[in-house]
Amino acid sequence: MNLAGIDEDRLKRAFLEEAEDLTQKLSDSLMALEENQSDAGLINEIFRLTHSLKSESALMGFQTLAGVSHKMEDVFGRVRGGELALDRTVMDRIFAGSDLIAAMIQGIAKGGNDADFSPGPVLEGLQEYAEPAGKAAPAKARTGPAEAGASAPAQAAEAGAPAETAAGTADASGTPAAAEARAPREAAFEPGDFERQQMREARDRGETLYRITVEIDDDAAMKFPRAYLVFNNLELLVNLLHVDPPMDGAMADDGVYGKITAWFTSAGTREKIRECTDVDQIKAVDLAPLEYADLLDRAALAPAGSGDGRPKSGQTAFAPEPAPSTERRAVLEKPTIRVDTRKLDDLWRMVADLILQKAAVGRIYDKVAHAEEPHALQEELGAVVDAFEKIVGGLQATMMETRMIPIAVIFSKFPRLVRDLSRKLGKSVDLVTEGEDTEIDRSIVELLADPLTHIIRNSLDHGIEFAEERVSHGKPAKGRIRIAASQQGGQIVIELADDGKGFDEQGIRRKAAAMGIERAATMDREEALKLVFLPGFSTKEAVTDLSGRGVGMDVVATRIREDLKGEVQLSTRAGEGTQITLLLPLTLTIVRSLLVRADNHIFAVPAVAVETTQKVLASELRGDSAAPFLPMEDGERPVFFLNSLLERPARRAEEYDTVMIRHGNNRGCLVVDELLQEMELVIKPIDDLLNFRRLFSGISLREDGSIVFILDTSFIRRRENNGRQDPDR
Amino acid sequence: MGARYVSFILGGGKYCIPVNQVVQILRHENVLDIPKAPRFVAGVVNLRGDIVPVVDLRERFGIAKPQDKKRERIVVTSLGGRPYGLLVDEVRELVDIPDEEITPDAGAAFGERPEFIRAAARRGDSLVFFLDLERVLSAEGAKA
Repeated sequence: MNLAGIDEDRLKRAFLEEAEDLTQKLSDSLMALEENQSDAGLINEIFRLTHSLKSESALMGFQTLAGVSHKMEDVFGRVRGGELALDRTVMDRIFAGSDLIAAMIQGIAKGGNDADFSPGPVLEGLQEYAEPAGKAAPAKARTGPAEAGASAPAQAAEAGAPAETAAGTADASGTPAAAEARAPREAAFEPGDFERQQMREARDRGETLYRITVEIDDDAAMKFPRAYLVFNNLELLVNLLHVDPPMDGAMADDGVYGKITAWFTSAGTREKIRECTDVDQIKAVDLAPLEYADLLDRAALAPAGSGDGRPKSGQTAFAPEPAPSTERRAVLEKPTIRVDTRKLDDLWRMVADLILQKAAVGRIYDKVAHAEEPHALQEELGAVVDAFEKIVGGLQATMMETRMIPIAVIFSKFPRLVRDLSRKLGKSVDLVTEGEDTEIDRSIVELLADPLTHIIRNSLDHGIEFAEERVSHGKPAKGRIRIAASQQGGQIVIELADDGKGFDEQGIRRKAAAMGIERAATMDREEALKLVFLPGFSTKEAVTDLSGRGVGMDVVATRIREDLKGEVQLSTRAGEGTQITLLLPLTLTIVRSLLVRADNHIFAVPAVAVETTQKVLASELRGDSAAPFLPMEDGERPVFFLNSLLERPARRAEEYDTVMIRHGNNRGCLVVDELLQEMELVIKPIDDLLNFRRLFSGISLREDGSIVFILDTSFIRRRENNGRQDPDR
Repeated sequence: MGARYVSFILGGGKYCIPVNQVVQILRHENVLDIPKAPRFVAGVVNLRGDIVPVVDLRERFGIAKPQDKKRERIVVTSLGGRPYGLLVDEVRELVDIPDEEITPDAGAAFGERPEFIRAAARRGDSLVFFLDLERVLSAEGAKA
């Protein structure tokens, strides 16, 4: 539906920001309430939160969401009035309600709809406590169509009659067949590998993902040509991913083209995109930005019981600006405003360009300053360059701060995770979090939630023992998981430690032997433990519901290393526990790097991997020429000739320029042809075609337009064992 | 329906891609080679800030390179919104080819690397092959 003059997406985003805030507060308050069930302040707070959720979602036309929130409000109304005591069953149902609310909001944020969820069982569970026993439920109609429990009729009803009242759709759900007949076929897009790749690339370029639905007048005689015109216009402007019905296959019945839906990415403005639909006899246009994650992680995110999280056009009755509720505006320590993250991304790109230009201006100044005949304006130019560099530096630092958010946004989900899992497993576990205010780049946070969740699940499932076992080993009955974040230099360090039974070293060796790893029985302990990072490795024979499903430590390690350019370390003691340490960069966008030359190429070594640079004499090197090493005070280091790594002829000399690098716990000495300057590089993703051996972690441009390859310093692990295949690559 | 294509020469054969996938045509200049890349990756060029990988189609198809490299061009194409360069012997012309003259799945007529060809059309007494850009530009299965 397209309401003139109202920016639907802005409204929806404003709603989502509020709603996400409210649900997080609801979840936190519920956790607190479980600790202290008689806290009247908390109960009031929860009542207020559910009330706000109800009103806002009803205003936005999310009737199912409003229905569940309303039921929660009813339950807390009774708790508040002293009519209902909070026992464990009530709490469980309340948690189920809060989970469903969070899932629906997440679904909406991903471009889906609250009606995709079946709230039936949750609503029934709450209903039992929402009304005094024996009393009828007067609010039935308000809970909307999905109260019927079946998602299919609800969807059909909603697609057929978007603007109807909840009561109206509830009627329709009574006759699902009729409702379905009225509903147009739902447009579908199941992205394949290619489309996913396209989307990832578009996301990297900063394009926005959209879905557009164009409806052609019912009485337009020739629908296909009109649909085709729109399609053609779009094709010229945007990167089409999928069109339904297809425009290029065999021509179908003209009636099919009465409504076309296309998924595409574009960096263009919404106005430009809308111009593509400037064709006569178009009835309605619905243009909606989508989250990439929704389509990319489709399988993983499909809400239970309703097929997929696919958005449907025009179902949302957008009302004017939702009145901000003043009562729940918390007292803020610092004044803040909410800014669309895409605007920040745009700003960030411009700052990145500016940083490059700053370097170019600096270079021009150097030329002027070192010219044989000093230029009359040299001093003046120098002052301008200094000021310019200062401003750009400040801009960069401030922009960087806008990208940083406290890691609490992830950590805050863990108390609930631990509570639910430990209850499910019948284990008793305390969770301690530290350093929640450590700030980390927004893009890293998004990629970090899954690996962290997985590690915690592993700890609970495989690490922490049952109470009797713990007591019999002289440990406290209650297990303990500690998650701590801190910034150490240019890195974020996240430690996840448990006091469980530790990794089963012998079990790992047995499994490795069974997998055909010949040295499994003889390799040293550290090496054996690293085997858990091998794809498909799991020491537990039976895959459990919790952390099995083929997703093991190897996936965690791959994510951390490849997506986050970080490092994973594992230390474990039998009977005492396990600690997994993640070392992460502060940001993925701009990396301070040392430029070096090898042959005719310029490479960048990220500064975080650089310890020192130094001259090394050829006579200091030991070992054979295929695997030389350098004895140093703190032990010997493998020596790598960058030219040899790249299969270029190595230059032999009496004395070498080297960079001492470290990657995780590994250290190495990298011989280069020339050490150049240190500078900040704006990293671009590197195409697979250019990175066959995974030698590079990205590519970048210098301000003079020359191309720089960013070295992935993990190569130093490869020669650790005298050329043996390193098990964790 | 039909579409307009850019045709080019590789060895003795004629090939084409849709004109709307062509971003620009460059001379074979300023291509930086890539360390440890497969042979068919000719290198990379900086096109106004975009880093464009260049694929040598002769290497990709196992076709001999021309003696005279004067006419060599890089056809910059866009796949998934990202630019890629195709290094070819010579760029020929714009041709309009009606859809009904295009034979799909004609890769077999192409001999050694049928997977890189998605269709063919007869133009006069010669064939013109339609590249399957996705496959040509895929890094999968290739060896450095």
